[in-house]
Amino acid sequence: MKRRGFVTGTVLGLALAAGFCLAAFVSDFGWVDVQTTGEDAIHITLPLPMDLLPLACCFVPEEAKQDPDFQEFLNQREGIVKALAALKDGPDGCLVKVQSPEEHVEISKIGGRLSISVDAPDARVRLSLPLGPVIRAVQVI
Amino acid sequence: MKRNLMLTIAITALAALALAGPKTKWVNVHVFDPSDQTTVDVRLPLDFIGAAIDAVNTPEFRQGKITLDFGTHGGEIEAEAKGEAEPKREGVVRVRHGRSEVDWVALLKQVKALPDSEFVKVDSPDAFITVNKKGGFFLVNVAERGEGKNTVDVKLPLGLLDAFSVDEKNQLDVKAFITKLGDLPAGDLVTVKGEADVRIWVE
Repeated sequence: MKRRGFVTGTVLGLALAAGFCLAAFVSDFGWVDVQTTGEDAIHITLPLPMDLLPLACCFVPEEAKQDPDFQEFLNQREGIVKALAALKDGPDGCLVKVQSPEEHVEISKIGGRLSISVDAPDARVRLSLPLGPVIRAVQVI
Repeated sequence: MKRNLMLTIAITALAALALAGPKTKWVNVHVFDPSDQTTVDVRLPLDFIGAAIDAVNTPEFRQGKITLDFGTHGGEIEAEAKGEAEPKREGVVRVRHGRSEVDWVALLKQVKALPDSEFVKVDSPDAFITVNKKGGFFLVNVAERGEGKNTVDVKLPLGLLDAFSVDEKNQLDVKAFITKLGDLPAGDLVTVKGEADVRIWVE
């Protein structure tokens, strides 16, 4: 009886630990959700493993790195990182809102994540990116 | 017992308020274009704006400073200076502005030192313009009389004038302006009404 209780406790403990690990892993995921209307309507939801983004950035081809726009980005990188860090550490709130009779766009910062939502007659887009991994990616490119 | 509980709650609340620290200031921009019924609201923390300004690195705008181009041809501004405190000095002031002919920093410091008064009043068929200093604010009001009939109201706290600096390279320190905004009381800075409604304020 005592042994059974021990086993149950261990299983529960492991399940909790796995849950926490999964939650920590998923919390660094970015999410993009695109839903279009019309005859070719699609609905795609993509999880973006943002922790892999810095790693992926290491594989940017040399040719692409020679592009003038990319060089300009590299010149501005330090400032961009500082600006993103300030955004990440700053208070939460709606940063930009555009409202027209047909379209609605909103950019918000909520708990270290940047959320972008677009509602248009032909599409609905939701994007959520954790700023931490984005900053790390910009730093390593 | 109940009194002790209330006292504890009050002390805890006060301590929480004291530990909360200074609140972040936000710069707000609201634009409404009636022609297409579109509203744009931008609301950014001052700290982020400061960092974003640092991020800009172009020949015209770098290290938080923007290079002003006054032009090489110069020009003339004719206005009526009317100081309430010194009515005898009323008259026409002719200012030739160009690359180095006007010391804007010194001029604005002088404005800050002057008593509340109306400095400029332009009454023409095109517009009615006044520039005042009143109640700790530098006020510019423009009322267009043309087709658009736009009105522009600028209300800058005088403390903001301290942050106005143009160096020998004609570079205006924009970052100093933004930083200074954090120290000043919240309120409207610019309001435009007419063809489009614009409001810029700090809260």
